[in-house]
Amino acid sequence: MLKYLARRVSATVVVLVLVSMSVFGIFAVLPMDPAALTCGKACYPAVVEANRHRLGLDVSVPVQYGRFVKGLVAGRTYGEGAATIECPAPAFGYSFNRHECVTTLIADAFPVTLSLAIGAFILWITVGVGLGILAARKKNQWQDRVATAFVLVGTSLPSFISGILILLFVGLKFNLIDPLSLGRWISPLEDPVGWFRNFFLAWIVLALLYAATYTRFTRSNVIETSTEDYIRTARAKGLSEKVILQKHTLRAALAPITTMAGLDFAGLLGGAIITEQIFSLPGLGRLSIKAVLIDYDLPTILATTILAATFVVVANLLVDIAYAYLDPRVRVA
Amino acid sequence: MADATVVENDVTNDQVFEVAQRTPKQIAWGRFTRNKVGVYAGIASIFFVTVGFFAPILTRLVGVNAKDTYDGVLDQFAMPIGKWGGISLAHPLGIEPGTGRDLFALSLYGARTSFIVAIIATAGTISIGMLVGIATGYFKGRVDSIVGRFSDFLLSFPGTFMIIALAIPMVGRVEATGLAHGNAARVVVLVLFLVFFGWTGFYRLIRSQAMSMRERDFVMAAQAMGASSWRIIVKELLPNLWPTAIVFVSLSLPGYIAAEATFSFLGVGVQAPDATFGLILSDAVSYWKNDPAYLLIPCGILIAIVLALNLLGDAIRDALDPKANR
Repeated sequence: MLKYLARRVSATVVVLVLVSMSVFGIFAVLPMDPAALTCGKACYPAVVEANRHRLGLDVSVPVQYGRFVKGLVAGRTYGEGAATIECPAPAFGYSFNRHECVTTLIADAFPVTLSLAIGAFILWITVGVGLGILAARKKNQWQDRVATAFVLVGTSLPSFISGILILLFVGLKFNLIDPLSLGRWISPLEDPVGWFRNFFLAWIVLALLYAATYTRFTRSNVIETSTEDYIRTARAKGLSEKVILQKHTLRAALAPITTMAGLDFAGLLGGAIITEQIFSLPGLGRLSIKAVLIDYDLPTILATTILAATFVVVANLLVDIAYAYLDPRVRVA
Repeated sequence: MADATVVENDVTNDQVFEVAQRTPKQIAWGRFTRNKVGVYAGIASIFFVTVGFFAPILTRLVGVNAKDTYDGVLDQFAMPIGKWGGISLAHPLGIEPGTGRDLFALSLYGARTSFIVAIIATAGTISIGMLVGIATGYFKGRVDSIVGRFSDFLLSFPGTFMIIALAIPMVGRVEATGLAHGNAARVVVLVLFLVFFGWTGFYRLIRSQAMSMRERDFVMAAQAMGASSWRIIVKELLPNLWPTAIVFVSLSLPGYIAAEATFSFLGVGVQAPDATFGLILSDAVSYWKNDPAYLLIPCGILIAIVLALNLLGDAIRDALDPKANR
């Protein structure tokens, strides 16, 4: 197990380095000049050059990458003399457009994204897996048809449409959401009710999309598992249907769903762009899309992209380790 | 079993029977036509695609176009005159607030853009996925492991965000080559990115199928007869991979249509004055209280298109693969 662990962890580190390098490379070859974007249209070349130097863009891409990694580990200082800016480790860069260390921006945005992801996750797992099991148990009955309709609606509605419709015609129309608190982060520790009001419609919108997929997946998995021989054996032993479902069917049927759930959740931690954008939630997704659409704030874009990829890669590692722990065969593979 | 005995009895009676064999295609078609929902969804899908592609002719027939700003249809607040967003005989779906353009024409041209993006992106995904999937699944070896690693690597990128972040500078790059300008360049970039981040799913599917098929008897028989790899791929593998491809096409079309709408809603993709659903909807959000029809009508059309294509896709999958119990 230790050997497997060491192999997987080192492979993950390599992937992370490759991902961050390619993100750097991709954005470096683009015809966007972040230095020129720092000072509007009427700008002296000298100012652009000075800003380029301050942004650290006057050196080659590998050197920039080296500085980025160094900043992550040891922190980073920008500028010289009186105008020095310190970003303590882990420094993702400095946003000249927002006059803030990117790490601070991310730290401000992350609780929002985390709240959104956790709430939606609980909702979609409960609804998706629950409805999937129900549909499988009541195959071809009305419960199954309701589940099929739900799957169809959930997968056919692009989330920006369900977002708009729910926000406008449910949230704002019936005063379920406070228009003034839209776009503000309310900590659940300070104002749990305000936090819930700000988030619950966004949870529904985000969960709808995933719940549909999970319903479909759970249903087919449960149906497939219940035709296995060992289920028949369990039934022949005289076990009750409830025990068979809980101890035999679900255990096997839900294992792949755990993998999927882990990866989906990690994917959301990088920011739910569309939902955050529609509900004006100041999370990572909105931070990154604002950085793109408003002023092409490269340090922020790089940081959020690398961060989102990191979540996915690390989640992959965790899922693999969990599998190896549960199933010894995986370790030698 | 019962059928087999019947055939045997008939044979013993010395009668000459021509047993009508049905090809897999006919069986699938029969199964498809028995599924009413699927047939209706198919008709609706064909209707939408036709209407989208004949947008220039249809709008002319109705006597409107997507460019003109019509006079006398907006009040002094630039809102459509009349109920339901100014629906009238002359303007069957109402009027765009602010500018006074015709929503029927805008929706038709919007649908056309969506279909073009979705069809080209699907074609790209299918060709690349098929090519790479067969090559890696059939030949295995080092190429397989390299491509496999690469696709894993690609999956760890936040695709949606990368597309948003890269689309704007990429459009500039495409325009600089002089091949396409403005919205054409935006469509090209969007399609390229959708394919780039989308091919891995189909490639994995094809790869695993090609891999299992190369171990099957009919492929081994062909190999034993000395057939070339090229012949085996074209004559043995491809015919067996088509059903998978057709199911994938029918389910990825609605996906790409939704994706196109989402990206243009977010501000990446086609820009005004051209129309697309995402663009109309992002504009309509600010009018939701005073002119809900302007929001709900395009919403309804887009949902209907995606729903029809999804239902059609489900029906095709059921017809081609009876074992897939949804």
